Amino acid sequence: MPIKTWVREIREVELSQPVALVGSPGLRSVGLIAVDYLVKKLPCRLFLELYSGSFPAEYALTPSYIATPGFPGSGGVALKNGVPELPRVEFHSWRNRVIVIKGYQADFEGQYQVAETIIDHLHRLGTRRVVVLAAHGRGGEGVQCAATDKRILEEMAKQGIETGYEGPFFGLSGLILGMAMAKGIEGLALFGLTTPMPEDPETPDPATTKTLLGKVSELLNLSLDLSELKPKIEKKPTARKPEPGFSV
Amino acid sequence: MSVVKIYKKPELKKPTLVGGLPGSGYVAKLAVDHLVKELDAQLFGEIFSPAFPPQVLVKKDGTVELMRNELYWWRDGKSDTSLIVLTGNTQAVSPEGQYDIAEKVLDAAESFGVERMFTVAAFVIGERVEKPRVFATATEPRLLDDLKKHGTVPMKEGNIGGTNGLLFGLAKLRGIQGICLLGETSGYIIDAKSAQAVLEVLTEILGIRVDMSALENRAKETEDFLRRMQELEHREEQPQSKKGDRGLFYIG
Repeated sequence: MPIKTWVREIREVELSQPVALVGSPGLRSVGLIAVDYLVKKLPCRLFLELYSGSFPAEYALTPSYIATPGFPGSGGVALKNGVPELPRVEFHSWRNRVIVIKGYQADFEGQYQVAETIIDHLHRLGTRRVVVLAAHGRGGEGVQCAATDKRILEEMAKQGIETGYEGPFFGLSGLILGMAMAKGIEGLALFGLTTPMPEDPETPDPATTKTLLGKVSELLNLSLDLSELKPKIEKKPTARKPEPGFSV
Repeated sequence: MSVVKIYKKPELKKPTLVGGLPGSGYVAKLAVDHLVKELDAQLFGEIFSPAFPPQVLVKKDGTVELMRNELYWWRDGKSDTSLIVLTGNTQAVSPEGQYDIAEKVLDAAESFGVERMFTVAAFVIGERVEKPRVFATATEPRLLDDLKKHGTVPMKEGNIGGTNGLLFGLAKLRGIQGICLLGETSGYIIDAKSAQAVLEVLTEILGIRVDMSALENRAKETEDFLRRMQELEHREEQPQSKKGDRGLFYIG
């Protein structure tokens, strides 16, 4: 059965060659916390939602960003203040120049379709650059980068951000970068350097997120106030195996 | 499902298809990538698929690439020999994707008039191999006698997994003559020595010459590394390494 991925427009937006900042559930939840904070603090307004039949509410295997064929997890909804919410990708806007995308990890069957649909919408919105916010766990501190072409890397080097990671970049955020390249949109990944926690890889790391957002604010001239980024953040249950409180 | 993008259709006369996608010990990929490099084969097509691992690769220079399979062509200036070579940075992960890609590669190959194909794979034995043997199997039993003349060992039973195996199996259904060459490997290392052994047989059958020195050097580096590891193991009195858990290197 073909996977269905669809969008719901919440409001019309007028954007002028925006930059899209993307964060998804991932290593130490750095990307996810970053976009949550941006949405709250800039503040942004939701304008588009993307839904997919390949979004599990419950993952069969964790972490959520390593999708495996044959392990689709289970569909379902999460309750927020007693109201059901389907898993979704959210597109928010800030002024007319920034889009913030809060990603969601699909199962193996849907990851490419979701990434491609997101990029198609960014293309339609005239996005000039996609900036993926993520983390890598090769030790050290600070922020490193990867990009769809060398010119962007040179630009980052002038800002004091060097390359340093070589290898696979898993999940939706990695694919968005690849799809951006395939569709002719500039793509940049900014990695906060974190310490992996193999027993629960998505354990939040707000300190690394703060460092990363500091760079993002500087690069995009956002004047972001980072003082409210909590030093300790509880992980949300959607990216976990079933636990007490999860009903089927 | 999968998309085959043909950028340029080279003029080839009944080329031979050679396929080797990454698998155990990287034997197939190493062998076929070496062939592409040494022959200076030209890229003419790429395959993208949602059945590839959902990720991109960050390269050493910091740029990224999508997961993909690639099609190259090569034509000998002195003879009628020409090749279509399939390689890539990944294999489809799901069986549906593996079938889809194998069928599409064979469709493309048949559009060039391919009547003969080789796939390269690994023969995993689970222990260290000093001098890798090359196992061979073919779509027609009579070909096995010819293959023995090239020093191969007939592989009569077992499975050849993934797209490398499917290409070979589906070729048989289409009436394409297929030969699968499998390099013996432990399965624990990136095995350039095994890749070289397979490539020597393949090039001999194809009647082409390829400089093996890059593979030889890589095999030597691996040998040196294994020797150093063995020496470390033997130093039982030494305290354990305090360099930390290297298995923690991942990204998300």
